[in-house]
Amino acid sequence: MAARRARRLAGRLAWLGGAFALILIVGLGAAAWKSARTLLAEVRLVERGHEARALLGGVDTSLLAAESARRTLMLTGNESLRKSLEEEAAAALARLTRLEELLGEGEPSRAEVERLESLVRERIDLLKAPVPDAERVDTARSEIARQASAGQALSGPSRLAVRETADAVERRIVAARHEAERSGRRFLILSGATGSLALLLLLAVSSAALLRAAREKARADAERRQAEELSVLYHQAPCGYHSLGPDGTFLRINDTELGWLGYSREEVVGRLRFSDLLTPDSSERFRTTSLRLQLDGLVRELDLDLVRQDGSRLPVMASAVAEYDAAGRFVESRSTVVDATERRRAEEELKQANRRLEGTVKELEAFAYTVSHDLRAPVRQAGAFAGLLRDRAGAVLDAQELHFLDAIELSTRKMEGLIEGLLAFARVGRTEIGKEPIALGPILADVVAEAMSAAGGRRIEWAIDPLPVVPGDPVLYRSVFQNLVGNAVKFTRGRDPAHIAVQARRTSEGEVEIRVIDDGAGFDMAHAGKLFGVFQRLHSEKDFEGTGIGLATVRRIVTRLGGNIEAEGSPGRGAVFTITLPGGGT
Amino acid sequence: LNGLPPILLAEDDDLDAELTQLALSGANLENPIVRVRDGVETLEFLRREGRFSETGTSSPVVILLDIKMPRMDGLDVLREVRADPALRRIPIVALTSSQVDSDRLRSWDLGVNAFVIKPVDRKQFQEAIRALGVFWALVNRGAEISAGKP
Repeated sequence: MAARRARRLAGRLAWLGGAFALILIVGLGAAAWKSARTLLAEVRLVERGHEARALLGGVDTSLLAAESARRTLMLTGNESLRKSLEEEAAAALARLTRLEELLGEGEPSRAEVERLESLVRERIDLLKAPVPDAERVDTARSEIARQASAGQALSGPSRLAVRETADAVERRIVAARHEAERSGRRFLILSGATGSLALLLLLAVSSAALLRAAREKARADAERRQAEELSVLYHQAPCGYHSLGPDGTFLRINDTELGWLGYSREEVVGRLRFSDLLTPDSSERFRTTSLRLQLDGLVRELDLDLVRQDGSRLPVMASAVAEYDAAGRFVESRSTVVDATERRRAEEELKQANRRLEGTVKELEAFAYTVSHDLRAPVRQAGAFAGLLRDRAGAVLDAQELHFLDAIELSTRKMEGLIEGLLAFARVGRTEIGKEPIALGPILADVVAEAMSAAGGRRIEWAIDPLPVVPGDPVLYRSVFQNLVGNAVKFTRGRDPAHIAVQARRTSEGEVEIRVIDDGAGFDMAHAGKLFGVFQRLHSEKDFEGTGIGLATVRRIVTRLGGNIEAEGSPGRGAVFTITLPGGGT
Repeated sequence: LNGLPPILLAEDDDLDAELTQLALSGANLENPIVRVRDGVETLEFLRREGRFSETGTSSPVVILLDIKMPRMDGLDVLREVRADPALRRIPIVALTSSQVDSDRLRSWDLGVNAFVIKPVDRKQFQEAIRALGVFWALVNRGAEISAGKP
C-alpha cells in the first residue's frame, strides 16, 4: 500500500522534473537566440564605435587640413588653396553626416554630435570667410597672433573644442559599448549557469527515470518469476489445492488434485461443486463443516472420501480457510487436500494392532487368572490334608515331625497368599469399572477397623480426614485402601505408638488427592521404581512378610480409574503414598 | 443305599471330592453320597438318563455343585436345574475356590442357595448347610434312622 503510494509519488516527481527541464531547455534556446542577437548588436556597436572614431578622426583631420589651407591662403593669397579648403570642409561635413547616420535617431551621443556639427559648421564658416589680398599677410599674421594670444574663441569654435566634442562622442559610444559588453557577459554567465543547471537537472531526471525503469523491469521480472514459481508450486505440490465459491463450485484447482480425480480443468472449474465429488457420507460431513468454516474462518483436518471419475474412492484429509470481502461477506474457501490413504491404512493397522494387543492382554489376564485359579486348588488341598494329618496323628508325632507339618502348612499358606494376590491383580483388568458415586469415607473406616483387629492390640494413632465422594467401583477402592492401609500398619510394626494419617484434598484441577502417611520403616527412594512392580519387594520376608503384588494391584486399579499414584519415603522415616483420582463427585 | 435321599456331589477333582466327603462324614450324615464328575453326569443323574437310567434313586436332598468342571460347568447345570420344573426346588450349594469371584455373583443370579469355599472343612460346611435350612432335616432324619436301628 505504502510502496504503491511511494511509487506513484516518484512517478509524478519524475514527470514534473522532466517538464521543468524541458521548460529550462526551451528557455535556454530562447536565451541563446537572444544572446546571439545581443552579440550581433554588440559587434555592430563595436564596428560603429570604430567607424565613429574613424569618422571623428577624419573630421578632425579634414578640419586640420582646412585650417592649414586657410592659413596658407592667408599668407600666400593663392586662391587655388581655397578649393582644397572647400574640399576639406565638405569632407568634414560629409563625415559628420555619415556619423549622424551611423548613430541614428535616439542615440544618447546624438546631441553631442549635433553640437559638434554646429561647431564644425561655425568653424568651417570662419575658415571660408574671404581674405582681402592687401591685408593677407597682416591678417594672417595678426590672426595667427590672435589665435596664439586669445585662443580659439576669438575666431569661432577652436579645433580643440571640436576635438573635445568628438572625444565626448567617442566616450559616449565606448561607454555604450562597454555597457552592452557587460550586460552581454552577465547574460552569458547567467545563461551558461542556467544551461548547466538545466542539463544537470535533465541528466538527473533522465538517470532517475532510467534507473526507475530498470528497477520497474527488475521488479516486474521478479514478480513474473515469482508468479511462475508459485504457479509451478501450486500445480506440482504433492497435495491438492482448490478454491470454492460460496455455493461450493470450483473456482480454481491444481493439477495434482485434478490428477487424483481424473477430470480435466474444464470439466471441473465453474461446473462442479466439491460436494459432487464426495461420497454421500463425506458430502454430508462437508456440508455441516462448510457452515462452520464460514463462521470460524478455519477448518482443520477433515476426513473425506473423494470419488474419482472412474468411481474409485480416495480417502483425503482436507483443511480450509475462508476468505471474506471488505464487507465481511464470505467470498470463497481455499482448501489443502492431502492424500490420506497411507494414514488411514496406518490408523486402521494401529486400530487392529490395538485390538490384537487388547486381545492379547485379555488372554494373558485370563491365563493368569486361570493358572492362579487352578494352582490354588492343589495348594489348598495340600494344606487341608496336612491339617487332617495333624488332627489324626498330631498326638503321636515327635517335635521334628510336627515341624515338618508346620513347614508344609506355612508354605501352602504363603502360596495361597501369592495366588490370591495374583488373582486380585488379574481381576482388576477383568472387572468392569462402575461409574456410580462412591463415598470413600465408610470404605476407609471399614478397612481401618479390619486392619486394627488384625494388628492385635498394637497402639496406632490415626488422623483421618473426611474423604470425598468419587465416581468408580467400591470393590476396587476397598482393595486400594486395604493395600495402602495394610502396608502402613505392617511397616509401622516397630513403632509404639505408630502414627498413620489419611489426608484428602481437592486440587486446583478438580482432582481428588488422597495421601496415606506413616512413620514406619519407609524405603529408599533409589528403589522407588520397584515399588509398583509385580513381585517386587523392598524389604526382606524376614522383616516384613508380603507377596509384592499389593502395590502393583493398587497402581493398576488407580490407573484404571483414570488416576495416578506416587510414593515418597526414606529408610526409617516413614512413607507417603499419594493417589490422585479424577474428581467428578464432591 | 439306605433308602435315604442321596446328597449329590458334583466334583471333578478327586482330592477335593475326598476332602468334601471327609467333611461330610465328619458331620455324621447318614445320607448316601453320590459323586458325579461333570455337569453332563450331574444332569444325567438328576434326569435318570445315561448310566443312571437304571438306578432307582430318588431326587437328591441337596446338590453340592463345583462351579468349574469339564464338559459342562456348574453354572450351566444351575441354569438347567432352575429351568426344569421337576428339579428347580432342589437346594444347591456351590463349591468355589474363591472368596471374590464373578462366578459367585452369577451363581447368585442363577439361584444358588449357598456357597462353600474349597477345600471344604467340616465346620464351614456345617455352617453353610445350616444357613441353607435343609441340614437339620438331613441330620434329623439320619438321626432318627440311626436311632431306630439298634
